[in-house]
Amino acid sequence: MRNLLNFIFRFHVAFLFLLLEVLGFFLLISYNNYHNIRAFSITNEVSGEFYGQVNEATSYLNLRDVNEQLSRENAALREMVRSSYLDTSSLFKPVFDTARVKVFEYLPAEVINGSVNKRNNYLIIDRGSSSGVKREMGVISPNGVAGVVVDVSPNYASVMSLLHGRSKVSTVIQKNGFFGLLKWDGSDPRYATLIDIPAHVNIAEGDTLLTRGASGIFPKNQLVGTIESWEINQSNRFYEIKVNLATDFRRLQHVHVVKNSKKQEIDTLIQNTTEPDV
Amino acid sequence: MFRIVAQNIIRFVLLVLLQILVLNNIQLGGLINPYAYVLVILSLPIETPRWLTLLIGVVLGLSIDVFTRTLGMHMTATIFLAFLRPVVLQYMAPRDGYEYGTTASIRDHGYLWYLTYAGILILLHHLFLFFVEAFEFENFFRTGLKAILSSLVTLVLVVILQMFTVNRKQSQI
Repeated sequence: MRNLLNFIFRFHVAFLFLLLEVLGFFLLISYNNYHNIRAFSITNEVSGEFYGQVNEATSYLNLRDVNEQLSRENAALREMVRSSYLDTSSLFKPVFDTARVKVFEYLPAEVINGSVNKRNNYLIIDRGSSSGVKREMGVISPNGVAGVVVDVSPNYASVMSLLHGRSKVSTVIQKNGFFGLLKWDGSDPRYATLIDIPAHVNIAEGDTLLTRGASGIFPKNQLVGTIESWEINQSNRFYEIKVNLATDFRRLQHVHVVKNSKKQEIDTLIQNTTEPDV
Repeated sequence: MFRIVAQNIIRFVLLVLLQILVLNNIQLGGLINPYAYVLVILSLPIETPRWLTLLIGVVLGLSIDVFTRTLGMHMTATIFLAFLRPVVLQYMAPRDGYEYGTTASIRDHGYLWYLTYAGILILLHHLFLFFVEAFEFENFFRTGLKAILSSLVTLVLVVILQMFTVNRKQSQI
């Protein structure tokens, strides 16, 4: 103890210097936007590399569950392909369907790190700008919607999951078409809250909720969750619906990044739309 | 003693004002931003304790940062300067040590000594500051060039400001 005190006293100037520099860099990074972003993407790259290695080792442990999930998804997709439908129209057979343009592209990615127990949760995925991932792209899991890309480094990306204070997903009730905003109150990673649905709408337990595709981040009609229970806010007569999320964020591993080739067009239109001067 | 403290405080205020009101508006070709406020640290009495130099560095850096809205940027660089000054002073000390009461100025030690002393410290301060500002090593040579050119201009300014103080003191005596 005495030696330690002597040591500190002997190098007190160096210690004071280091302490003050740490304080200075802390201020620099927290109060300057540019430095903040630089620091964030550097730490993103470093921690991404680290968690990537950890994930490499641990991903074998849940291969069984993942396989099961993938084969279920495979089966669902197989049901949708043309060969599994009986062709009842023998008269017209379109060879090349020019009436449809491909808008959404899917890029498979793996979640290498993610939290569910904080107020604002992020996922780190192993795809970055070198694979074409950009900010504001949607991320979906095999079961439903997962989040939105908020920061990209060359090989990794941070995804703001639905379990985040600023996450807002425009969600529609499948059976009657009323839509509202899905938010997360920060308590339970299994449930989120749907607001802005007026109290006169008929809803029932287990009703399916889908994405509305309003801003072009997610495709339309992706599963969000099901209605668990609800309360009516007496002051404004709107529902507060408790939603059982389709995605289980606690064991999320394989996701798809959604690229919308028309997103820029939508954004430009929204930005340029101003009310005409009358 | 009181006279020295007062003198340093007045120098501090005047140089910070000079920096934020005049020098921060000078940007020659996007390459040269002189930071003559370092003269506050350079002109402290030689006997100033090292911890006090560091604390003065913090206050000086923060004062500049508050007015340029770059909290932490000048602070880290000025602390670095304040840490190095005693080291450079020790390295450049005459054989018998500094005479008590002499100051780190042209008047007491001559041009050659002062240009070496101020040149080294200003260059190190500016390199640190410009690299903290860029916060990357991708444009290494451009950032380095900016730091070196700005150091030269700062050095010239510092020498000119020195002459002012020398003249004033001579007229006072």
